[in-house]
Amino acid sequence: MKKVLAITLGILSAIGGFFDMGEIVMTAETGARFGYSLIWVLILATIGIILYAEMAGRIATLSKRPVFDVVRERIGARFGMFNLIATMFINIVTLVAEIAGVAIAFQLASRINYYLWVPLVVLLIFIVIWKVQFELMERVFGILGLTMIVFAVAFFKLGPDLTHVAKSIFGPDVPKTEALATYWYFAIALFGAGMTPYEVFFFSSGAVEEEWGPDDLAVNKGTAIVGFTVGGLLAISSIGVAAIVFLPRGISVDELAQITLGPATALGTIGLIAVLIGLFASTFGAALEVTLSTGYALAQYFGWPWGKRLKPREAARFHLAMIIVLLLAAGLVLTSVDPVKVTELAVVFSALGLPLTYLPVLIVANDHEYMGDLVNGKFSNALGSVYMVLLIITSVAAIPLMIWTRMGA
Amino acid sequence: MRSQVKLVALLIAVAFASACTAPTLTESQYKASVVNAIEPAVSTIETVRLTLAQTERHNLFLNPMDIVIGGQEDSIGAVTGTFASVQPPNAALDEVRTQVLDLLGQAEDQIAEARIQLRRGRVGEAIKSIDGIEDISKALDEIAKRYS
Repeated sequence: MKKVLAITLGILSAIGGFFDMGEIVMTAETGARFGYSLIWVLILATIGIILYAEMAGRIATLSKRPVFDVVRERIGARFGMFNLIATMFINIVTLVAEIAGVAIAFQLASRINYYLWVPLVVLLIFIVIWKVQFELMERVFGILGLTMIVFAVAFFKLGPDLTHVAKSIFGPDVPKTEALATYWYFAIALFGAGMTPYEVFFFSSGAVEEEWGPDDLAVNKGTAIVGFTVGGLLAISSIGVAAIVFLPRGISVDELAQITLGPATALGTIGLIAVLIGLFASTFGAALEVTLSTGYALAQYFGWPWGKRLKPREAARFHLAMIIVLLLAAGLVLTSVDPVKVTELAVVFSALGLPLTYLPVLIVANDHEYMGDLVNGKFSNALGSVYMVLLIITSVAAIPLMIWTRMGA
Repeated sequence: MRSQVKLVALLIAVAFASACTAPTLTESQYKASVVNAIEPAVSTIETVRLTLAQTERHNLFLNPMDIVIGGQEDSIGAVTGTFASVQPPNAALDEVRTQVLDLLGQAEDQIAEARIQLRRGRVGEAIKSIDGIEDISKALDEIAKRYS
C-alpha cells in the first residue's frame, strides 16, 4: 500500500514538473502557428525524458548519490565544471521564466502589475524551500499542478478531429504560412522544453532526499513512465487547444495571459479558474525545482553538505547558493525582460546543453562499479544511444536556427 | 594632420547621425515590413474579439480578461510605433503607409476604449466599442495578402 501511495504521489510530482513555463508557452505558441504538426516532437521528448529520468533515478537509488556527484567522480572535475557552468546558466534563465510565470499568474488574478509581485514570489519560494519538508512540497504542488488537466478536458470539449490529429502525428506537414527553418526551430525548442535538464537533476536528487533503496526501483520506474507520460499528454492537449482556438483566428501567442483563453473558451469560468490555479502551481512548483536543482548541482559538485533533510545551518552553503540564485533571477525579471522571450531562450539553451546533461547519465548507467548488475539493458542502451544522437543534433542546430529564424519570428 | 583629425571627427559625426535615423528600405523590404506589421496587428484584434466574446458568453470574471486586453493594447501600440518609424522608399508606398497607419490607429483606439469599459465592468459597452473592428482586421489582412 505504501508503495502504491509513493508511486501515485511521485506520478503527480512528475506531471507537475514536466508541464512548466517552458511547456506552457511553447505548446501554446506551437499549436497557434503549426496546428498539430509538431505533436510528434512532444512524443519523442516524452519518451526521452522517461528513458533518462529512469536511468538517473536508478543511479541515485543504487549508488545513494545523485547524478551530479557521480558525474564529477566518473567523468572528471574539468568536464564536471564545464557541465556545472552550463547547468547554472540554463537553470538561471529557466528560473527567470518561472518566477515571471508565477508573478503573471498573480497579476491575472489581481490586476496588480506583475513586477510588484516578484519580491513576494521570491519570498514565498524562499520560505517554502527553507521551511517545508521535501515530500510535502513536492506533493502539494504536484497535486495543484494537476489542475492543468483542464487542457485535456478543454481539448476534448472543443471537439477535435482525431483523425486529423493522428494524420498530423504520423505525417506532419509544415503549414504553408511558415518557413521550414521556423518549423525546425520550434521542433528543437519543444524538444528542449520537454527534456529540460533540471527535471533530471531534481528527479535524482529527490530519490536521495527521500532515501530510496533498491526496493524503490519499481517506484522509480513507475513514476518516470506514468508521470512523464501524463505530463506529455497534457502538453499535447495544450497544443491541441491552441490549434483549435488560436490557429483559425490567426492569433499568435506572445503573452502568457492569452493562454487562459483556450480553457476559458471551452469550459467558461471553471476552465479559467483551473488554468489560473494550474499556471500558479506549475510555475511555482517548477521554480522550487529549479532553485533546488541549482543548489543540488553546486553542492554536489563542490562536495558541500546538501539536502532539505538537513537543517539550513548544517547545509549553509547549499542554502546560501539558492538564495543568491533566487535574488539574481528576481533581479533579471525586474529588468523588464519579456517573460515569453526569456522562456523561449531558456528552452533553446536547454536544447543546447542537452548532451552535457544526458551523456554522463548514459555512461554512468552502464558502469558496473556504481550500478552492480542493474546496468542498462540492451534495449535501454540502444534507445539511449539513438537519443544521444538526437540530442547532439538538437544541440548543434539550436543556436544557428535561433539566429536564422530570429527566434521563430 | 589637423585636416585628418577634422575628417575623422566628421566621419564619426556622420556615423552617429546615421545611427539615429531609420534606414531607408528597398521597395520589397518595405512591403515585407508592411506584412510584418499587419500580422501581429491582426492577431491582436482577433485576440481582443475572442476575449470579449468569451467574457460575455461565459460571464467570465474580469481581472484576467482586462490583463489580456491591456497587453494587446500595448502590443498594437508597439507595432504601430515601429511601423511608423520606417521610411517608405517611394511616393507610391506613402499611400500604403497612410492606409495601414490609419487602420492600426483606429484599431488601437477601439481596443483602448474596450479596455476602459471592461475595467469599469461594462462588458456590453466594451463589445460595442469594438464595433467594426472585424472590418479593420479584414482590411489589414487584404493589404497583407497583396504584399506577401
